[in-house]
Amino acid sequence: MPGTAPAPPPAADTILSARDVRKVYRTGSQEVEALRDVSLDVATGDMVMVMGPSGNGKTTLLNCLAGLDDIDDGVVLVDGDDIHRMSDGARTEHRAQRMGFIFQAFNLIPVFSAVENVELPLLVGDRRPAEARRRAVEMLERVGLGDRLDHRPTELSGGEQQRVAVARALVSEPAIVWADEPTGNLDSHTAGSVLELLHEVHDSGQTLVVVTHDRGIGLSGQRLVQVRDGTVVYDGPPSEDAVDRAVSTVPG
Amino acid sequence: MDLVDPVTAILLLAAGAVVAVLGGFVLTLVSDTVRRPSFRRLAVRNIVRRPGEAALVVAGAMLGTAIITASLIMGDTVERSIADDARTDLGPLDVAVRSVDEGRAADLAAAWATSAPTGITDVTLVRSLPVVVTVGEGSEVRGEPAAVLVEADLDVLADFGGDRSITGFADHNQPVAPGSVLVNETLADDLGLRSGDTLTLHAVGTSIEVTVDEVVNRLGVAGHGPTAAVGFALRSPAPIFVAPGTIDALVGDDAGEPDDAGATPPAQVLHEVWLSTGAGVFVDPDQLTAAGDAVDAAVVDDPDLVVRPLKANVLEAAARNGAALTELYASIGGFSVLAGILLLVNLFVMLSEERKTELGMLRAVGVKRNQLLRVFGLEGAIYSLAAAVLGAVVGIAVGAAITGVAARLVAAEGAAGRFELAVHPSTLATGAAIGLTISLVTVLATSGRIARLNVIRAIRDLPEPPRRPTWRGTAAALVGVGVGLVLLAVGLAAEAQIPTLVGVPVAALSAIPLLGRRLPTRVAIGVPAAVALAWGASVFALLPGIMGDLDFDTFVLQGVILVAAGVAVASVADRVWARLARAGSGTGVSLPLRLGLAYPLARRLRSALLLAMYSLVIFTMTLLSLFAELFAGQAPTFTREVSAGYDLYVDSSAANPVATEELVAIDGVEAVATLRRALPFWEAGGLEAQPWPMSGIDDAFVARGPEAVTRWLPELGSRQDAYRAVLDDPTLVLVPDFFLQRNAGPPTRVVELGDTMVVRNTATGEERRVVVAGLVANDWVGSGVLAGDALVEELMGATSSPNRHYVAVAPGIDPEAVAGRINGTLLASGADATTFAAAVDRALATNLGFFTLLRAYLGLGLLIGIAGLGVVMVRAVRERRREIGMLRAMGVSSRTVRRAFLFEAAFVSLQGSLLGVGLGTLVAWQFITSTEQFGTDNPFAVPYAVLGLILVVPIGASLLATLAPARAAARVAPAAALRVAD
Repeated sequence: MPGTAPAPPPAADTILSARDVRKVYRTGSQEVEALRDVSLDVATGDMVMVMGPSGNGKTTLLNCLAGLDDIDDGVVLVDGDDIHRMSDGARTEHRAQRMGFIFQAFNLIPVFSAVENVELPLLVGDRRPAEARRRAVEMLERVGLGDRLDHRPTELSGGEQQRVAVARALVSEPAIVWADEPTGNLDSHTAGSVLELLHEVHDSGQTLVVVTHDRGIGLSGQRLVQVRDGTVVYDGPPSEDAVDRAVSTVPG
Repeated sequence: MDLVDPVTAILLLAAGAVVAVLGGFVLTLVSDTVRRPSFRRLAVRNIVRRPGEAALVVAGAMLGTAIITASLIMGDTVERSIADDARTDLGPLDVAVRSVDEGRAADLAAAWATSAPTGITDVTLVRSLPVVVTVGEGSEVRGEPAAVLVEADLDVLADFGGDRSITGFADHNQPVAPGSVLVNETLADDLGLRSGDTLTLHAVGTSIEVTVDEVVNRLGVAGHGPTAAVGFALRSPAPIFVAPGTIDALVGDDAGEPDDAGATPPAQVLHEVWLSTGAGVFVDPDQLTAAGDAVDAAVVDDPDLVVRPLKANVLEAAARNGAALTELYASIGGFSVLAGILLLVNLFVMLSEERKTELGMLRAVGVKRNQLLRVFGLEGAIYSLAAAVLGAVVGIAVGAAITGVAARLVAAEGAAGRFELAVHPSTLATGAAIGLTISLVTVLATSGRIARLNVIRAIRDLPEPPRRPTWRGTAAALVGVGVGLVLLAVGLAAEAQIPTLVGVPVAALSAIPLLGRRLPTRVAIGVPAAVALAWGASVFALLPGIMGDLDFDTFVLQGVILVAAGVAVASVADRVWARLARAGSGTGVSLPLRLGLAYPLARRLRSALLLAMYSLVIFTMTLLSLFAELFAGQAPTFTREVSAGYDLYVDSSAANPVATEELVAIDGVEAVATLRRALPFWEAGGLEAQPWPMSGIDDAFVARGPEAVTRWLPELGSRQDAYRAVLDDPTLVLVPDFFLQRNAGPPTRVVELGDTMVVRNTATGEERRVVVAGLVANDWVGSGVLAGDALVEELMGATSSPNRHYVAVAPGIDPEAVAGRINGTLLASGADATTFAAAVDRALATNLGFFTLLRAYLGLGLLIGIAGLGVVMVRAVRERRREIGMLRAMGVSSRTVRRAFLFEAAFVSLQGSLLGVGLGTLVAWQFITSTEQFGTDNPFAVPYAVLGLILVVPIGASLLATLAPARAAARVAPAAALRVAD
């Protein structure tokens, strides 16, 4: 199987390089090995689709690669920095400067308006408020929400909320954007438009790692990484067969 | 128009409705607990699963009950301590009939010995004489100015009432020998007496020496000294039981050697027939009343006889003062209880929002609305029950702490009697029941709100859309506006404070839903709230005639209205705060500040509840502190007013008063005014006749320019002219501010300028009609009603005595030194000289002590505010876990998250403190400058240091209380908070 071969050393344009990553969840005396010796490289400008059945470690992989969660073993380099050797503060700052996130549940701050949500990463990065506001407005206009700047999340539709989340993830021009089931909460029409937006972003040179079990999204990527039982079992082009295997609940 | 009855009726109806609804709710819950195990399991599950959070809810709900219980316990304690006088000073003695005519009293005693009035079982005749007692010699001499010789048959007294154990003479079997006396332990302790010691008794210019035969317990009749009818003493006179003939030896024809100097006023031998119902110490009030009525009926129309219902007076005073203290503490505590209710509502609102999805799922799987209400209600009822029980127990601890402090204050004031914690089981039950009722009403209201949730929105955790106006809402709003306007009209017409005060706010706040149809929410809420605020703040100045003498209930209501309106205004001023937060942009605090302000500004209802909770307590704390500061700063003014231009006052034995010439002869004395004192009965202000002290003033008193009169009849001319008029005209008197007031608390005037009163000498039955010519402030030395000396002497005769003197010292002489010389020189007259400055300082210290006590009590409310904020923050961390996770994922540092929570707490507490301090200062200013509650001409100086402390301490404490939840928020792991199933 292609995914079983040892990973080559990272190339010069590699933005993400993970080696032998292991993650164990502990609940009382019980241990569950969620990731087992996962190695993965992502080149700058890649759009990688991570697929696999539910409960097989896709989100855990994303959390560990992005530094949101700790790992038990292995190395994760983002832009050459070993993020799991950093202090919590340094890792947080690294995320602020180099990463953007999109989640299935949007995770917008409900008490902020759309523009306030989008300008938040810029303020975290110590940008001047006026500049942050200008860029947030530009970004919202780019995702088609120029007329919804002052609406709170509860006043927006699901698709609009996810567009705000996309704008928020991109506004600080991160090196890499992580998207965890970005269309999971959306109807197919709205999901299509969000996917279109993600491709536009990718076309502009942005690196994207997208966790999904949506067949259509999987097929639209450049590269497919299939995760099963905490290991990468496929890493290659998103062919129909590969995508079908990835979304199948039957091992094979 | 009498408004009390309709208002009471409405309140009773409302209370009845609440009880009915609550009763039904409780019965349903009990039935569910027994018959619906599934409901029981659902209700208990959350408590068991989250014991820490359940404990927080119970702790929050418990504080209100603790405050209520502590108020009731204060009442119990005061009642018990006063009622204890019945045990120590009366025992079986229930009623006394007094006469100045020995023959009349003896005839009565003889007649009743064979045929007593109905209900009376024991009768005995007692003679008494007020004396001064001294012991020791030279510089070692000690004295007691207020003692009374009692001549009685001790064999009869030992069995008086049929129960030897309560008379105080149970172990005494021998009559007192001539030349010997029995004293009780109180006098023995005061003077350091033991059996065999020699005492000197002084009365009406003569003295004799006697030997202490025995010291008896202060119990029952052995503790009772018949009160001389002159002046008010904090302590009843110490009885000295003597052999028959001793009084005659002092005041009769064979009286002892005259003292070196002194006047010889008429002897004040009192003859009393003591009566007992034979029912023990604590007699049933109905039995006492019946016996008193029978005695009254038996002596009716006999002007020589005065019936003194001693036991009934003590027990009634106990009940009255207990109730007054309960009311005072309950009123002050009311603010804290309200704060507690707001906290409880907040907790349940948070609880319901947190459980929204879960409750939505229950609805989705077929749980009906009313079943949901019952499940949530059952869980709330369990919290409420636990809180009620715990609150009652904590209330005992709070009551004990307050009682301890109060006992020290009472002791410092010199009052006799014990002040020990008393807790009636019924008090605990009442406190717990009130607390439980409040909690259950809150639970019922919150559960009802939860049960209305939309299933889909609840499951998807979507906010409820704004409610569309309904005809019911419109009708209710219109009714509210109408009721408010009617209340205002009725209040103005009847000059009634409460309807006048609440009319405008009720109308304005009821108009909010109507305005909300046409105007933006901020305007629809902000404008009526501002109107209510302005009305509440300015009604004193606008309507001084109606609102001039504010009573305590009105004061509490005004505080609630102002705070509610202030909070409403603050809650719609979110844009101002947001702008201020943005103004801080570019600084290091800008991001945490924005995050910290975002939640309270966005969630207006919850923020308003928190803010109201906080401001209410700070408001009351500010008021109390300002009043205390005002008092503390007024010592020179009070001293000037109370002193009438003199430096010290000298009280002496009514039986053997100091003569003016004796005082003039003391080195350093420049001038002396003499006040003739008496204790007549007054009929005034529609009240039944009551005793109140009266002092006759002389030319010397008026000469030095007394200033205590604050208002006087305009036709009298100047202030000095008012004093002069009273001196010259026996139909005019000057009345002090606490006149005929029987309870603690601020003065409540019962008469006004120009009112006519009847003053009566109950010994002779003579009476006069007198007119209130002026009102006197700050009668802290208890001179009572001031009249011309001629009126007092003519009316009160032998029952008055010139035994108070005001003394002015020569320039450059220390008044304290002169007071010392007077006390040392005139001991035989029981002279007790006190400088006015010292008297005022002592009175102020006691008053300030009680203010401190009230503030400490209110501190509990502050605890609710601070702990409540902490509890709300703990829950906020749980509620916002996912959002915190997202912020952390975006790169917001844990430090920023922590600071955001601290900013949020600081924002709420700063707003609450500013609102409370601002409104409290405003009301205090109006209270002090527009009403006579604290006298007139009181300058209002803002005590910035105190206000600063009130601002800073609660904010600091709130930040400390928020530190733990803020740290917990900072520790939230982003992946764990964001985790969803893969």
